[in-house]
Amino acid sequence: MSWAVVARKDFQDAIRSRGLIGMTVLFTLLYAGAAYLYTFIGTSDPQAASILSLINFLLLPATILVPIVGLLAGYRAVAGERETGSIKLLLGLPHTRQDVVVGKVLGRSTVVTVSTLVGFAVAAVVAVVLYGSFSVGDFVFFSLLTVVFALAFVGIGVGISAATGSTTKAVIGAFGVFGVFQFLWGQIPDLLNYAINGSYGFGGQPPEWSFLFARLNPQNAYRATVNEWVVQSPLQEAFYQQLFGGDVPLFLSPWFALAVLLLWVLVPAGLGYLAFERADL
Amino acid sequence: MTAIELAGLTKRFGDVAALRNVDLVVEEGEVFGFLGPNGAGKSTTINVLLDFARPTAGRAEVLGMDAQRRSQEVRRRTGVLPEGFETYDRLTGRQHLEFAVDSKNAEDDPMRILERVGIGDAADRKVGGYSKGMTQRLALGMAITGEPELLILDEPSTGLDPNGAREMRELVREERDRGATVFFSSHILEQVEAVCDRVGILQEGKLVAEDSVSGLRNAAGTAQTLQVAVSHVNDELLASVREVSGVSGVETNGERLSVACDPDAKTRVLEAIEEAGTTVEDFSTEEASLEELFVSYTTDGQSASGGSDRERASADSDEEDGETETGTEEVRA
Repeated sequence: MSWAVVARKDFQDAIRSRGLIGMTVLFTLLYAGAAYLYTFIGTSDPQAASILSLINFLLLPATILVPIVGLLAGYRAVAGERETGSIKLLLGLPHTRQDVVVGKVLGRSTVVTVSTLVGFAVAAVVAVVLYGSFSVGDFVFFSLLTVVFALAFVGIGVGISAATGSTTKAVIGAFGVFGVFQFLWGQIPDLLNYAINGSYGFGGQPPEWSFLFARLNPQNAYRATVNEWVVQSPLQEAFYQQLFGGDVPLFLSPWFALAVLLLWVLVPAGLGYLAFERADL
Repeated sequence: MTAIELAGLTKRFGDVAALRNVDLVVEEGEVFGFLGPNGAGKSTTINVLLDFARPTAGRAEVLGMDAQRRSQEVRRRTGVLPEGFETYDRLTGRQHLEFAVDSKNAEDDPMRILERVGIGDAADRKVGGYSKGMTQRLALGMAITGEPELLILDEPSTGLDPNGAREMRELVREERDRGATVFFSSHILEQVEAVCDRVGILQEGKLVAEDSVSGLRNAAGTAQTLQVAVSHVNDELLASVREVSGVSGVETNGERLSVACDPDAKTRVLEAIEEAGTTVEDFSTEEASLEELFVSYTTDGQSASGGSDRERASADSDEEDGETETGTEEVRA
């Protein structure tokens, strides 16, 4: 298994990177800090603080920060090796370029998984100590969904990295992608509508496809899986029931959202591979 | 069977032709030296052999397999020391070797190989702290892992001190004795002379010569320059030296003459200088630089700056220190 050898080497290498270690420490402090902070600002009584409300509290920062972790872990994966020339050492050995991309996605995914789980584990310890109750199942489920979310951005990061020979271009691409998801995505249906119909805003109920489009953003897909499966907020469901008259489209189900996240792992990495396969090193 | 076969290999980067219609055969079991100045296209050739780059036209075969379509199989049976590579600074020497062993599914003991290339002491140190020479030894160790049938070494003596370069040549001989074919690129004539059976000379993307090492030595022997310090220089003196048979070019640098000539013309040159009424204060003979040698091959007996008839392997360059660009332009002029 050639890709497994590449993945193991990549993990060994990346886990020793000061940048990634620093990132893990930072996010550990952030998650643990949030768990601690929540006992002051989220609720008046620490004993009454529940893990579900903590998850709700963590969801917003995680939605913004986890993509950054994933992209930072991925963007140098292939472009960095091409830039320094270590790719020649790597491909001088009998690995295919596909092995390299698959191995890189796996290696960096492992790094991000370790990094995220360490942060969440420390946050869990804080919660166990300070909170009146702690639901291990809910927190583990939340952590796993967050890992899948992180992997989507590792896939995007490695894909961009494989498609370009320079880390400068890769980092610009990574920030561009983040900007699109974070700031632009929600506006795109309105902009399309404006381009086609000349009117801004849908005036009344937005069309069904705009909900589908929104759900294709991995950040929204992640939030949807956590809301539906972990927090199980009745409000969201009620909102959709009302909107679609009891007949909620399939693409608003959490399974569809999970599939979206997995596609974000695979498709960008696959496209990046196709570009890398054609490139002269 | 042939170890490497290039047929009409052409590689263009945009408008720049890095390789032009190169045909080359390297037989199994030989040590083949691939000579050429920096930028001649040696690394591009090797990149095509390893499928780091794809040919614009023509084809490359390694161990009887298409270098592009069956690259992984090629690299499974080939040890590679690339040029301009970088190691993984955060990993140790041992981890690098383990990576090579795992990648090639080999049985080697990483420690034994590290000792063989002379960096056993540094096995557990992070490679980021290695010197250039140690890094080169490490990559050489990774190349010989798994007893490959073919070794492709791109400028293997880069960063090595003279002792290291000698050890590297010994290792190349050991590998050849084991039965491996060695394809070895260099811009340093002595490196190639010392260890190769045959050589190919690449210049500006064209293979200008394929020769045995003894043929190369003959060419190198005839392409000498005579350095003469004289009391004064004038046009008359230069003209009379140029007329000496066997002289292919004269250059001046202050009160120094640099005369490209056949070895047996040296005495006649010195006599001619004295006869012109100039005192010879000092003289020495310089071996041809690689660039001068290239020129002697490339011009193929065509007179460029001298005027006298010369053998195929005679020197054409009248460059004192043999700078490639000037030397070749001279020939083209």
